[in-house]
Amino acid sequence: MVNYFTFLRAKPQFFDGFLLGKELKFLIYLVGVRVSFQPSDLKKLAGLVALNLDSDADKLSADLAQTFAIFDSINELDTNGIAPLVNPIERGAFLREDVVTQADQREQYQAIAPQVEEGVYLVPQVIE
Amino acid sequence: MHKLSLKQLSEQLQTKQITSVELTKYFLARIEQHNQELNCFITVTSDLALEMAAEADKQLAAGNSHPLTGIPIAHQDSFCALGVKTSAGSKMLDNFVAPYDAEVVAKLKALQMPILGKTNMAEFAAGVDTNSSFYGKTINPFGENLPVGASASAVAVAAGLAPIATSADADGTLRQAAANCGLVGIKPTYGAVSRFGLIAYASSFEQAGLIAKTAEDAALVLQQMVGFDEKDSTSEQFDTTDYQAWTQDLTGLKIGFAKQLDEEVEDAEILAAVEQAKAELQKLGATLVEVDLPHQKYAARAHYLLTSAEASSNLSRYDGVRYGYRCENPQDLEDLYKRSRSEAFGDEVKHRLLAGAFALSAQNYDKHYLQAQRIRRLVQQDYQQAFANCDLILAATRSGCAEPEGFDAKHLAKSLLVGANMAGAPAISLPAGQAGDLPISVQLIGQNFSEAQLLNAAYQFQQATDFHQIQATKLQATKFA
Repeated sequence: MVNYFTFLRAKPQFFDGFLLGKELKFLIYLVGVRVSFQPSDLKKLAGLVALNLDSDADKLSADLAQTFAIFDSINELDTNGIAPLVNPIERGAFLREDVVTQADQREQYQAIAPQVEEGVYLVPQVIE
Repeated sequence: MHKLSLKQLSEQLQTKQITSVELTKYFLARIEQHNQELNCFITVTSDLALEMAAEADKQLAAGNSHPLTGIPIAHQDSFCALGVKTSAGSKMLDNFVAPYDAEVVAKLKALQMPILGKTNMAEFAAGVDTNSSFYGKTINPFGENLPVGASASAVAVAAGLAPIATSADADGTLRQAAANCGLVGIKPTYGAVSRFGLIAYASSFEQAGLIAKTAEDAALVLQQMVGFDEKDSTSEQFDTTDYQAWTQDLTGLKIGFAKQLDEEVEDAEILAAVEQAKAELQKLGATLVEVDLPHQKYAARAHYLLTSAEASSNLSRYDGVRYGYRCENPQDLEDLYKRSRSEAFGDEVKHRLLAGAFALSAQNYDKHYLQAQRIRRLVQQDYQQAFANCDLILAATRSGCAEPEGFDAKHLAKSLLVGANMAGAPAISLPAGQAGDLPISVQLIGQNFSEAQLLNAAYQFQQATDFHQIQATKLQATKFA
């Protein structure tokens, strides 16, 4: 069953004009994502963005599944041959002379750090 | 005093009918009186404001001032201001005192526009309302159950606590908040105003802009905000024109309308306001042209995905090491990262971070992230093709009067707004009607760097109609009069 849903999400165009109405397809999308998006996936995802999960992980999973279904649904549009647009400005970066333009402001910037000693940021010990 | 336009305030200052210190004290007193209830300022910078006002008075007396010198302003809390707490509405930056000025802040500071304070906002602008702010939600002065939107700059201006305020627009939040309060909101062309010092959320979408009482007020200040800044790699070099080159009427202006935008409107009253706006613009000499935006229905979804992805990437800088919140007694480095972030980010931001990471993950990168970027190009092409046949596009600002329920629905409800962000185009929202207690607004979207044309069309509309005065009149009947 999961394979079917995975296939449907990956290749929705396969089903165009074939058996299923749009609404039903969308429902299956939702169910499919719910089936395929497991709490273990959430744990992995939370690791990627360096977050701990709180006790309400089930609700978060359910909310995210809905968001992911929305993300998935944009695949119904055929975009073959269209180049991705990363930024409305596509001229590339400006170059400037390779000269110093800013004075050293380390002290000023480190003054707002949680813990600093002799110009370095302090974190818990990493290497024994 | 708080009902006067910037032009009127400027005249009073220039003709010495009032000093900047008096004017600034007046607005600080109103903030003192009403902010506790409205919660539209996170930080009030009285000392800074009065110091700047005193300097402004010196310049006014010496006769070497600018027309905006001495007029106070509020900045949204996502703009860094030297020596002032800059939180972006987040616990993460509750202890962050900016070590430099954002370019926008610096430019307006140079004109001696006293900074009244920093306005509340959705946490990192990643929400649709101020409920996600660490500092609590902002109250709409026209009714506590009415929506505010994600920028309290609108409430500060609507309630007369600031003559004008900066804000930012990555997903229509600036225009939506302005619309909720019956004000003008302008999002300039992407690259027209420097983003240096604007706390990043969705970098390829957001633009610094203004919330003002009228198009004329917005034009006066925007003129001073735009321009190339080498400190911002996405800043553009372009010819700035006079934003107050008001024409006699709108003869020759072609206004486009798209059925795809009109079809998304759910309420008859909003649709009627759009139709009425079309008629008013025609009366002013504009002609109407139907244009086609075939990919509009994908714009909001693709935008939701891309902004989540960019937010996920941008907010990875908050690690509890260099600035911002750090958890107590971290056990090791990983614990420091995770607990600092988990304790300091709110639920809305966490949802966006997780959603963004999902869209960017290896298995989804092509079908989510790249697909959304391909849609972005199609949406941009739609607008470019439309502008081959018209000068400006007219649409409603909001699709419905009622607030949508649910996390996703709220984000998708901004579908009429995000087209301009997807394309990088400038847009201005302005009041155009009334539905019960709620003001209705329409927006005009222009070609890149057509701010002068947008402002002129909005100005002419406001000369011919009085929709922009409805909320100001209503304020008289409230305790914020």
